Amino acid sequence: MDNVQPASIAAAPPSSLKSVQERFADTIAGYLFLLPFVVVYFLFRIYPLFRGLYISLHEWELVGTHREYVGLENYRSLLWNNLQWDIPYQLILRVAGLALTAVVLWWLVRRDRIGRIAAAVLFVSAVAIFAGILGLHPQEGAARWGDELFREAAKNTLYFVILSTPSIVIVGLLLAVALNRPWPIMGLFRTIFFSSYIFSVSVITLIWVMVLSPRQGILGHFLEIFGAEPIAWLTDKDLAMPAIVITTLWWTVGFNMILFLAGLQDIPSEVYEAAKLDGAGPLVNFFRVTLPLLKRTTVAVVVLQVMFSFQIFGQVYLMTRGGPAGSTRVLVLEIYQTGFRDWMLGYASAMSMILFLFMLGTSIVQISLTQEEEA
Amino acid sequence: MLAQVIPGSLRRRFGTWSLLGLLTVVSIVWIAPIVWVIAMSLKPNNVLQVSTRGLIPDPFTLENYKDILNVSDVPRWFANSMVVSASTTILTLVLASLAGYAFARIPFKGKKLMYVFVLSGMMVPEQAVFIPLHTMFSAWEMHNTYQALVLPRLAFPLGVFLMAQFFQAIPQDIEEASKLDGANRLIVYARIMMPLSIPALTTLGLFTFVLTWNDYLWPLVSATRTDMYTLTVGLGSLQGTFAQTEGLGFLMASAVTASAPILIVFIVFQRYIIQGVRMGGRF
Repeated sequence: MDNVQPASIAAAPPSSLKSVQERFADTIAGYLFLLPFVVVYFLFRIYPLFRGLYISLHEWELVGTHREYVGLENYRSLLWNNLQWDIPYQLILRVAGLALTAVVLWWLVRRDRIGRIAAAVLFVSAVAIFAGILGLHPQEGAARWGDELFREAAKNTLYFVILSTPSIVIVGLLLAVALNRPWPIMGLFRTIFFSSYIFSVSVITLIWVMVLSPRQGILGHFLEIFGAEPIAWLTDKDLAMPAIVITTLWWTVGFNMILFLAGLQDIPSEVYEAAKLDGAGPLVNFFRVTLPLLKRTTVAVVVLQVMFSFQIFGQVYLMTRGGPAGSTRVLVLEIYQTGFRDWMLGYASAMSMILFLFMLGTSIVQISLTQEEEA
Repeated sequence: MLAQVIPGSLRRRFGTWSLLGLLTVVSIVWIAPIVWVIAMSLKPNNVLQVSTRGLIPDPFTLENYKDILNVSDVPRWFANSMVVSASTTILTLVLASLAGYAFARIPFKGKKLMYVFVLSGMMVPEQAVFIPLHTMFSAWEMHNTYQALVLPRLAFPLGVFLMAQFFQAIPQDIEEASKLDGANRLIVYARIMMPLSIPALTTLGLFTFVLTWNDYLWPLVSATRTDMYTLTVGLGSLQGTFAQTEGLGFLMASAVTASAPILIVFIVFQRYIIQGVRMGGRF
């Protein structure tokens, strides 16, 4: 994803050498080769996106024929209920925040820390946040806004993203740095740490529900040796989400490890030899040589991790069903249950459109950051 | 202080051994849950009801695996997963290599635009389209069929991207020479490019297979009849219905059965799978 280069694909041999007929034949051939994929792709990926938008403007029952056009009503009850937007609301804070961001961005561009396109994208996001989103507040007298359940689900998802992204990225990086040695035994370790990634979600949840089980779990057995009380991870509302993060870390960290290993192998060994001549120790090496040279890989890994984390569903659905007390009810679970338990497909579709926009924003930030690097 | 007393080579050797020791401990902890699950699958259920301790299956039994074969839906789900994963893999390879060949080798009008169009699909996650997809297959009355489980999976832009990248790397003159012989493009594609791209096809094929085998959300909403479950969905449903203590060994044996094909594929083709992760950068 981070090395998408449409430009190189489009580079065709000089067309002047070919006759008009030949070029026409090429074009026909090109589209014929594309046809099977593009038909499937359009029908099952692009069209559903627009159909999803259409459904989200309706009251649409899963079973039955009730389909009623309601316009933006679903979005209004998700986001806008009891909400109003004013220019003067907390104006000084918002202007100050925006000005501060602008100054920081300007300073970063001046010091060549980030490129112009990235800065522009970040600035536009900052305008959207400070001028737009922070101008929103609940109507007078109303304590809440939007859909309570949806808001909780968004909050839980964000909590999962914030807990899981740094831990999975950092553990992946540490494993990669430790394993980046040309010894045969490292291949074995790499296989072990990557192997958990290939299991399906229902297998890993089965494993971890058992591991974390207070009475039967292997973790409890282990803690018993030290005389510790078994912990009821999945039925404690403060521990359930961390337990799901641990499960996800065990499941997916091998993927990040491989990406980091690939990045590390692109660093020429001369760089380290030069650092060694300067008397750099392992820690200095890591922070001054490895990390800066891994910047590109790290950006890609972080963005992918954030996107994966936003999509979390299976672990939560199978381990806690969103409980206890709704503490692990995440967005995709909320979408699934609204659609397939409550039969409200229109409402669920509106939620998935919002999730999609969120992830699209993340992609755009990533592309602007990585394109900069190449330019 | 210490640094001055101990010579450099000794210090380095100490560092090496402590790194190896640490990695060994961590990797044992890493696979302990897997070993434990396999051990439980080889123990009688009534023993597990009393205690789930121990990484060694003692007393040992194959009863759980016999139950899977004789009195459960697991073989049926296994067959479903095989049919769905194999057909998805073969069709993906055909579609992705045809499209990838066009992007890499045929100069045609609007190519750049089409390429961007195809790649932009990578930004549309399954979670954003599974509801509209569900209504489409409902309207066609195609839920609980293999087609419903296969077709949406084929819209996989990353496969096209990987194949296009691979074909680009093949030297152009191989193809030019054959064009002089009057061979047309489809023959060039089938007779020359396909045999040359066996490594890329293997990588993409393995990845498609593993991803399809492990797919959860779409099969969960589309295959609602028990006999159409895939193993991943079926195993999920067992977790919901089984009380934790009864049939624990059976449940663990199902998990082992569900993972066995993927584990074998992984051990045999590890190199290709890791290559796939590197090339794709996302799955």
